[in-house]
Amino acid sequence: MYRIIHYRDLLIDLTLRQVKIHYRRSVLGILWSLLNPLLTLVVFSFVFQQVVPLNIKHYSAYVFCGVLAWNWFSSSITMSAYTITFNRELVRLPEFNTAILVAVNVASNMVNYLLALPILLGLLIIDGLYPGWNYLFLPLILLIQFMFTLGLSLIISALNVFYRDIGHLVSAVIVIWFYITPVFYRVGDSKRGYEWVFNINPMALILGMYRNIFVNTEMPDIMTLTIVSIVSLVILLIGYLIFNRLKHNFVDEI
Amino acid sequence: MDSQNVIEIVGLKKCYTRKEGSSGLKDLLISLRGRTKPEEYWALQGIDLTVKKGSTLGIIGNNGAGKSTLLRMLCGLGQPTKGTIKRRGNLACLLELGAGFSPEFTGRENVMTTLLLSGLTRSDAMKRLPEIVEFSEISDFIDTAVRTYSSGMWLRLAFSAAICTNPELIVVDEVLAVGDLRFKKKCLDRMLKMKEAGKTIILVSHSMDQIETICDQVLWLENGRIREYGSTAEVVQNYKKRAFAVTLAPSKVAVESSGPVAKFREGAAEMELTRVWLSNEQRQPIDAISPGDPLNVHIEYSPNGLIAEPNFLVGLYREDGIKIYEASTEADNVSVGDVATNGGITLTFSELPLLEGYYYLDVGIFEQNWNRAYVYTSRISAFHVIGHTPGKGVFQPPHRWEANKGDER
Repeated sequence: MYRIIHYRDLLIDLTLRQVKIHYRRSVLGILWSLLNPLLTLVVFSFVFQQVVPLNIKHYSAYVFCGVLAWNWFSSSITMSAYTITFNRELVRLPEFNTAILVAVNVASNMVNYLLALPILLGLLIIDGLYPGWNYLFLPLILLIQFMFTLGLSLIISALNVFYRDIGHLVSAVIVIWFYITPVFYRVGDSKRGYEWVFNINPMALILGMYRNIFVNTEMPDIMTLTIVSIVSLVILLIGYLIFNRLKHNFVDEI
Repeated sequence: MDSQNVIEIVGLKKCYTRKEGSSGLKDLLISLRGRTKPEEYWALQGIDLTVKKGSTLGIIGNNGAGKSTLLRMLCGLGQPTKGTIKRRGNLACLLELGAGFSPEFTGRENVMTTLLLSGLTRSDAMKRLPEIVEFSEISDFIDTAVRTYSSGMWLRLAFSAAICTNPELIVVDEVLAVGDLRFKKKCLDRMLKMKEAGKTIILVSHSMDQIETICDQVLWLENGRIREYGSTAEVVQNYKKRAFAVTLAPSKVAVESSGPVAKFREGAAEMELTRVWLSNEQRQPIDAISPGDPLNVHIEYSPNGLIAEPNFLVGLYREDGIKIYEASTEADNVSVGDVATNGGITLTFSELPLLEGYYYLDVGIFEQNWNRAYVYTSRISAFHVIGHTPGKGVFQPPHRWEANKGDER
């Protein structure tokens, strides 16, 4: 029990530290974390409403919802490659569970997500989409995305210690992954025969569930919810097992 | 694991593989094809060690002997290549002090994180905080970003944070080598207090003074193996002897006082130095003395024919070449007379108040009027002075202090 409280306190402390260190001594401070998704929102809104109209209802809210979740995922994954290799001092602390560092990375990116959430709510309310009881599913979906991201991050961070190419590889893969995930477009608009791409992409399914809640003001599909939960849990388990196998050699490698 | 033991190490070996260049997929691909063979470096080559609860162990040895590797292994950093390490009780590792500190955060924030990292909960950490701040003596700056700290303040805070977690086992690597004298003493006192409280302390240090102050037992490592393990006095003395001898060895000094005469010599060779040796009061051959001990220098020679009244000269030098004293028969108004057959002469220093170190002797035999040397051999003999002297310098003149605090009427 003491250990659990300890891990909780440590996770909170390190996460806040990570968030703070980004913005300390900068004038705009934490506002920077909002600027990036807002700029993306402006660009997407302009391009896909004015230049190449996609005819998606409530497009601003639709796209912002996707951008926030995707940013959380992609920055966590890209940064995860370096969570172990860039934290040499902490990894070399005796009896320190290095998996915490990976969780801290995912958590601190989640903080950015949560900080931008009020803006999303604002966009929704402007479009007349008011929060309802279906928002109760939000924590569950956050948890699913957290587990999925953490699972992948554990694998990537551990492997990058031994093969430094992984970090570069991940950056490249994330770019491709972005385009096969419906962040700024809609699954239904794709040609027939390509739905499977989105059905095997957990991020596409997770984004779909966020949109169920926020934009469609409905419950997420229970079937999808169940499958994605199981997949995320399995990924997390696999990630943790791989990480645990490799972590004993971290100190010797970095 | 025996309940009396805090640490049990059996057959510990540690091998580091030195890879050329960066590690990456390329290396993996190449190694899969079995082409490269990474260079191996065995930092530890079979260590067996048990440390009892409440004991204080010093680890000494030259650079590269494996001290730091052993310490890291003790702290669970890195996997043993072979063998096992068992450890009991919570641990404070003072290895890389303050390494986890982040310059942008305040002292308080950093200490908090350090405590959380060491396994405490937030509420427990809060309770420890005041004691740490007090011990570090930087309470005025505790809410300032540590990037503004001097290195001494940084270190003081880091040391305080590490030691105030009430550990059972403390592993210290050379950290007492920094900081100002007063704080160093405070740290030392703190460690002694912990020792009294029955904590187990493992200390790596190059300072024999520190080792002698804190440790009951000493482990001497050499090339990744245990060279000696025993009581502090014994091992430290042997280590000192060895360490001094090794420093001089490359300059080909005749280390053994009773050994053969050194080869580099000058002189016309009308006389030969057959043997130069050192002895104590009882005339037993020795190669080490304590500060203030007497020393006899025995010079044995053999002349080639009749030599009229040669002068004998003995120069005493410290390891670094500082001439301590040069004695000659002429200067001391001693006449040896004419020499025709093998003989000897003894120079006695009734006391040599030298400081700890390594010393050597030059011996020469000169013509009566010092025109030339019959034979002159530098570094013909050498000896250690082993033992603690309170002061510093070259030698220790007999001295005393007397305080005069004005009239005490």
